[in-house]
Amino acid sequence: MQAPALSQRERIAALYERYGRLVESRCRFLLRDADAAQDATQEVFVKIMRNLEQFRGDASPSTWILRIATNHCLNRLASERAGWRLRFRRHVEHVDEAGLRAGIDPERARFVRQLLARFDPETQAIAIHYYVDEMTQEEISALLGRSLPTIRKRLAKFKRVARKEVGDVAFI
Amino acid sequence: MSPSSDRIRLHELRQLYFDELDPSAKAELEARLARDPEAQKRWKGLNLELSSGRASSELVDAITERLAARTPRSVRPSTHQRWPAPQWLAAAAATIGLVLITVPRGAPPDGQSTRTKGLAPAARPACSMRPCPSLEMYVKDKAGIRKGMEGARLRSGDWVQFRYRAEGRSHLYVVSLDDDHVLAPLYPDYRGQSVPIQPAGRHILPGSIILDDAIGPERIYAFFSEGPIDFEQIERAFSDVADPTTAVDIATLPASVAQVSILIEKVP
Repeated sequence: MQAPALSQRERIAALYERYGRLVESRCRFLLRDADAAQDATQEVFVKIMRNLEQFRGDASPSTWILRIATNHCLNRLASERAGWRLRFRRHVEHVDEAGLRAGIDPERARFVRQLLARFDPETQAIAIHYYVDEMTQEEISALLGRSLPTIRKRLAKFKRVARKEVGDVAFI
Repeated sequence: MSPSSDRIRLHELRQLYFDELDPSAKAELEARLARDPEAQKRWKGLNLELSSGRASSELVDAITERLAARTPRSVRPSTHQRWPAPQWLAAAAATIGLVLITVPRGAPPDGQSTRTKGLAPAARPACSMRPCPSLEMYVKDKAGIRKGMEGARLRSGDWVQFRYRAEGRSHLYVVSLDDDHVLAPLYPDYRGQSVPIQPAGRHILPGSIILDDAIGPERIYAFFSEGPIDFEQIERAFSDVADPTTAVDIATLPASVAQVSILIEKVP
């Protein structure tokens, strides 16, 4: 006897209970505004629900969902460019606290975030997956469907800009 | 400091948390974790960060409503209107200069012209039979008529019209694909077969498109072909596209089909 299929509401609730915090964390990190992050989180789950059938298992579910969340927030920031440049200067305690709990180097994460505005959305996503999510270049290549040389090239460009900012400090 | 090969990466810890590793990889990672006090702190932090994502009823309601509110945009018959005086485009183009959206000659610098999820890039360029066709985009808004360039920021209510040069092809299908993977037919504005076009010279596509109120990036693709192509062929070709807002070469379409595209950004 088969278990009854979940209703849409039940599916949403189940997905959110499993991945909600992951999405919220990424949205807070990029948007730096609790209300905007909550709004973006809901939008991300809409996208997840709409694209569930297209998920083919090339990446793990959490990686796929994180990618959707990252892209959504980067797109949102791109449409609010001026606001973003001002926003990153604000200090948001709970973002750094979450970073400390997960052991992410908060200084590096902040620094990466500050640089993002200078790059195209694809390079932004690659930098986040590499420096914040600590994915390998091969994993990023598989996730984004871009060749390894392209990933390397984009990261090299990001590093060049980062090094100009910090000089000799081997930050990245 | 970039991720080193010995250090347990955050990505690995997340996969462990969500139970996404095969049994041998999981056992290996757990063994590494047991030997690494620093990683154990990170693991504890990650558990605190990711646990208890309970969805309130109000939250589920909000997501459900948003999901229902996203009405399909696959057909836009009501948004197509003719510019009352199409000759304005010709006059404007002569004075403000033309922006030619053409297929790049030769392979892109990194040797990749195609991206499909999980697959190696296809070798076929977007136009394999020279000369390559072109599509020019013009935007009409409150400020007047202007050329549309890659990444143009457009708003709901802006009008868009196209001019093309088919370079010998006799059929055209123009579609748009947004970051929600919604594929919408633009010319023709229905799911059917491509429209016959003039194979030689530069011509304006009749009618114009009034942009709807959905925001975000959207890529407009024009497929020029020697014979008719169906919307379903295009739809199948896009089915595996990972990031629809980055130009891709649809290698699954017939080799005689040439593609040009332009990215627009819909802003509030």
